[in-house]
Amino acid sequence: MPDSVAVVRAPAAYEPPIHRLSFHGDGTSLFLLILKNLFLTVITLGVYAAWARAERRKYMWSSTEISGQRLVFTGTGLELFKGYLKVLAVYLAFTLIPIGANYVIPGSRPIVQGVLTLAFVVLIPFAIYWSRAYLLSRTKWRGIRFGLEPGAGPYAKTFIGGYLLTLLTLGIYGPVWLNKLRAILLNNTRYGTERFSFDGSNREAFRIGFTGFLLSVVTLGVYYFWYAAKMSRFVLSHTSFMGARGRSELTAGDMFKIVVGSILGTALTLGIAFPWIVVWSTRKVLDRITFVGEVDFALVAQRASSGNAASDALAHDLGVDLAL
Amino acid sequence: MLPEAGDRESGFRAEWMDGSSGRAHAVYISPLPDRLLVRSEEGTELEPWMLEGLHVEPLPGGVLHLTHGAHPGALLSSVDPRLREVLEAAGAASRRPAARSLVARAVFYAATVAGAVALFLAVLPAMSAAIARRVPLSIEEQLALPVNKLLQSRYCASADSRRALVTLAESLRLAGDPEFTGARFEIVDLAMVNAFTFPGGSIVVTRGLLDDAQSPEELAGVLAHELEHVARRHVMAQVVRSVILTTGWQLTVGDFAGLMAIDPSTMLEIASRSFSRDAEKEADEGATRRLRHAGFSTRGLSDFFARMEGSTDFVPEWLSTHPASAERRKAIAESGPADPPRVAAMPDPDWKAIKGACSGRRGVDPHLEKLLGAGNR
Repeated sequence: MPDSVAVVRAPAAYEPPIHRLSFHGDGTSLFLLILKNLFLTVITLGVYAAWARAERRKYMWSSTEISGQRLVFTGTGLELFKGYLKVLAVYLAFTLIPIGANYVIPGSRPIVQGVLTLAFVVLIPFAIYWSRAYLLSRTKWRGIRFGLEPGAGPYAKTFIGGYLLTLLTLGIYGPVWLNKLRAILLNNTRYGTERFSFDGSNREAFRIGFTGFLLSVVTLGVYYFWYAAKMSRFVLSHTSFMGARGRSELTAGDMFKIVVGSILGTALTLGIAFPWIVVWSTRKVLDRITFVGEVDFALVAQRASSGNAASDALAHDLGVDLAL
Repeated sequence: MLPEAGDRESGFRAEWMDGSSGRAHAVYISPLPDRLLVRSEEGTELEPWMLEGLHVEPLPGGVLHLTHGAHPGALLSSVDPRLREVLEAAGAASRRPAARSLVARAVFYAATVAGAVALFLAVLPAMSAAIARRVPLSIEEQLALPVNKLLQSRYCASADSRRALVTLAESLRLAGDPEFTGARFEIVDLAMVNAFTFPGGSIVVTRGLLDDAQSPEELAGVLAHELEHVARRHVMAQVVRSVILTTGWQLTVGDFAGLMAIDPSTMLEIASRSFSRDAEKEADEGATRRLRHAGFSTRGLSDFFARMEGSTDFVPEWLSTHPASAERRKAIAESGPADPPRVAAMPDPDWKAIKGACSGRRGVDPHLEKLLGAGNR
């Protein structure tokens, strides 16, 4: 065949490297681990609960692979236990101070109690922030620690201000509020010396959140799965680290399978299938997440970081833990 | 990318991270009797890792992490299954437990946990009752404040009805009953047929119950039952129990509660309903004792239960806070003859005052009634 048409060969298209996430845990091992933790917690009258928590995190972390290397959880049960004790001391103080105050100034109890309750509410965003800081500081990958820059104050300000604004606007401000909080957490997250960055606009977050709410109402909740998939794509595609940007391929169908499968699976087995379901759903989510682009790991250096287990325990008690 | 299993000069492929940068270097590990030789891809020899002090951590999915105190921060990661076998043989890594011993262990754990939970549930009622008895009355009275606030606007009583109710309650008291200073006896404007005991020894009877009651003896029976709850400090015991149960739940499986479809509080609720049924039985027994002591007939109480049978016994007993009405009536009958009254429970004018206490008020508050729905009857 005569080569009459000049074929212009494009230079080999540049294929940016893809960093994949995957989960390697298995339900049976997790089940045995939970059973062992339950046993030790029961025979130690609850003392082992802190160690159980650390053990379970260790398992979940070390089963998670990012770009060929596993995460490592370096937190210990002992530090968490000490954290629990500190939280217990705070609770005791909260209970005893009003009683003591009433003793000194009779009738002052309701006022003191009110002030303390307010303080407790203000503590919630701090607990969320410090809990994240603790978890990141105890997470290693490729021998390098993650961390969260100090910034609980601004976070709490955004949290409380945004919360009030959300109440005042009957929830309309909600998506913007959540996006601002997400931006603070992600922009302050670092791996070694390098920071993550989040550039998802409040406008876009509002659009997704608001239409998501409206359509969910109109479709009697069915749209929720599309909303959840959209939101995960939005968050990941606006999250980057050095030259790599996140990508989520989670679809509404995936979301439906994960949510409905988890609920049915646990309900039908009275919770016994729980470990297998955790493994299955985590695997499903991580399989759909990638980071695309160049990362020069040689440029990432180790940095010392702090993190306090008491705030983690507190976050757990306030019910705002990340459920990891 | 993960290194593949393959050797170069008889080494196992691995990745070496020094802990100061995020770079992962491809290396080959060659085990010697006392150390691991670590060679880079180019053949450069790195510092060897001694077997002594080597920490081997097998991760899910066949990855091996090696760390060593002499190489702080450094990490060797390999997916070659042969490396683990070699390290096991050299005694540097602990051997995997056999599947059979894993099953045996799992069965042992499960049996112990089940046994401990059963034991715990068995001693819980006695334990919480004992703790409740030691809680000072003044502390229990503090818990009463929010309840009073909730119901205050619905109390309906004339001076006569209030006096009559207090007199009836006084005649049903026994020596040794707790002396709550702020205890109140109130009639509340609610349509439901019920009576409640609240923290601090207060007893509230609904308008619906008074409309339904056929005789002062029936009211006396109900009041005697509630007074027994007060005497046994059942309310405080319930508070103590729920604190113990929720703490126990939080400590053991609380981490997963958010992901569980069967709401754990439902299970706690079912468990605590069985305790509640036991408490009701105790209160019924105490009520007949109180009625006989006061010289009243116990027939009022059994008549009341007989009428309740139709309206309450459609709920399976194990789901209910109370024993079935038919059972309760039978238990009263078995406790002794319904001796003819030596004394009438109250004079006629008093009974009229009580029956008419809420006249003219017919408030409906579905929210409040729902809230009190599972209360003491």
